[in-house]
Amino acid sequence: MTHNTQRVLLELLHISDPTLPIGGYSHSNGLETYIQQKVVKDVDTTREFVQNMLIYNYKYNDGLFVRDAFKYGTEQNLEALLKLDNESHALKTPMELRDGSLKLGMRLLKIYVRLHDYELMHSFFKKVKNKETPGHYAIVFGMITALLGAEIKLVLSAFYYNAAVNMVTNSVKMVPLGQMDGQEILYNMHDLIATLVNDTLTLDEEMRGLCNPAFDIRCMQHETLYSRLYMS
Amino acid sequence: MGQYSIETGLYQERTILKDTYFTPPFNVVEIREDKTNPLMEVMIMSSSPGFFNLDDYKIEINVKTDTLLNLQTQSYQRVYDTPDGARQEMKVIIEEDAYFSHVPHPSVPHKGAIFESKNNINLAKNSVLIWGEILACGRKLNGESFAFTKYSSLTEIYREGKLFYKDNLYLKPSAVDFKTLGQYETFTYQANFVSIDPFHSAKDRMAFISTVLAEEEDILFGVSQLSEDACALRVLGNSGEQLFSALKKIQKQLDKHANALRKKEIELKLV
Repeated sequence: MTHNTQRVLLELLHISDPTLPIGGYSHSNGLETYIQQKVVKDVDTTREFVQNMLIYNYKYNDGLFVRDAFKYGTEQNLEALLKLDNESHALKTPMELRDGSLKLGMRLLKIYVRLHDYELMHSFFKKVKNKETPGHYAIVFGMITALLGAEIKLVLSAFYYNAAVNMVTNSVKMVPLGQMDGQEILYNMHDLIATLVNDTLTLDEEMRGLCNPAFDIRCMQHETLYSRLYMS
Repeated sequence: MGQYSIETGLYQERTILKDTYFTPPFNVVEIREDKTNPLMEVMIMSSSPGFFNLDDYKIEINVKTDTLLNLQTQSYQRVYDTPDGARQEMKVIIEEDAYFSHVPHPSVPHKGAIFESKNNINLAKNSVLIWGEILACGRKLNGESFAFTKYSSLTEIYREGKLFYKDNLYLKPSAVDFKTLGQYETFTYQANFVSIDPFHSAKDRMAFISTVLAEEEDILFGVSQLSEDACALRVLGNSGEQLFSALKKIQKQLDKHANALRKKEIELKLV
């Protein structure tokens, strides 16, 4: 293993670490609604939720935005990143989903502007601070990992893995499930993540930003749930 | 290729049809009953029962400054077996202080339908948009649930040149299992509704929309805020008629408000 491979691996482990203090654990993205409505209630329904979120929601939305932000980050194309950021904002119809992504994006930026002096990232951060661009998590994640010199397939794997861990951790707490059940669900997502990475790179552009009606509705309903532990 | 275009105008403070152009199968008819209403109501009549193979419709709407337009359809929009596809493109320009309200009948893609539609809507400062769309799974009573090949409806709303809202309603039953969690689940109809109105707070509007939808049974819905002056609604249900009449009820009320507001403005001007 070269020194650079090891450095990039550590960078990816760091940025996709679920304990990174950006607040990933406080967003359920509609899962809390599903659980209160007793639709997600055991191992099988949790697996279905995690799987479907990855296949139908993440892949056509945030996964795709990571892919494109990575490309524009590599090209040092700030204008394209800003346009992509705005598109991501326009596609997120449920307010809590949109706000959650903005919070994660801002916190991720705040960590990395202290760690690296990439000009592109600092320019983007300035635009977010000046409210000239929203600053969504997937855009920030894609841009930073490109600047770190990572490889796109590994970046997407890390991104999807991080999303899966957050969903599983929240399910273990809320459904609730046993720790072992959670680990089994997560471990068995590996093949799916590998497939998703390849799919993301060869996606049919027509499906860009695909709408997931029932997921969106559960996120919107979360705003008025009687009791809420999570921010979305 | 069928097409129609509508341009509104202002005559003695009332909205009129300034310019209209249409080719078969379309006809554009003004249906405003109370001629003192500032809001003009126009119906698109069509001599065709729906979209056939390779049909390609182009629609252009220009709602000029200070005018108010409600554009209606005549019946359900059917998309027949279209092996090479059918298309529709709609471009809407809503100028300053203008109002555009459009909730067409549900779309019903039949077995073998391939349909693609693009809606491009441009708002200026203080323009209002009331917009809805409803999609059916097909001719459910004939056992044609999700039997179409592909249905795609891409809506992009720009405010003062900047993309504000984007929705990609894209269904390909061979690629996506619609019964699964997160998609249609136990439902067969989807409705989307957007309100962008700088003259009313999104919060009030959301409360009103929720009250209307809460009266309906056998549906799943959510309302959310897009900005201080805009909100969106998504509904899943099992009856096109039910979703259509609920959206119409909301639209009617909002149109009524806009009409009354404009009437007041006109009276103030005349005093």
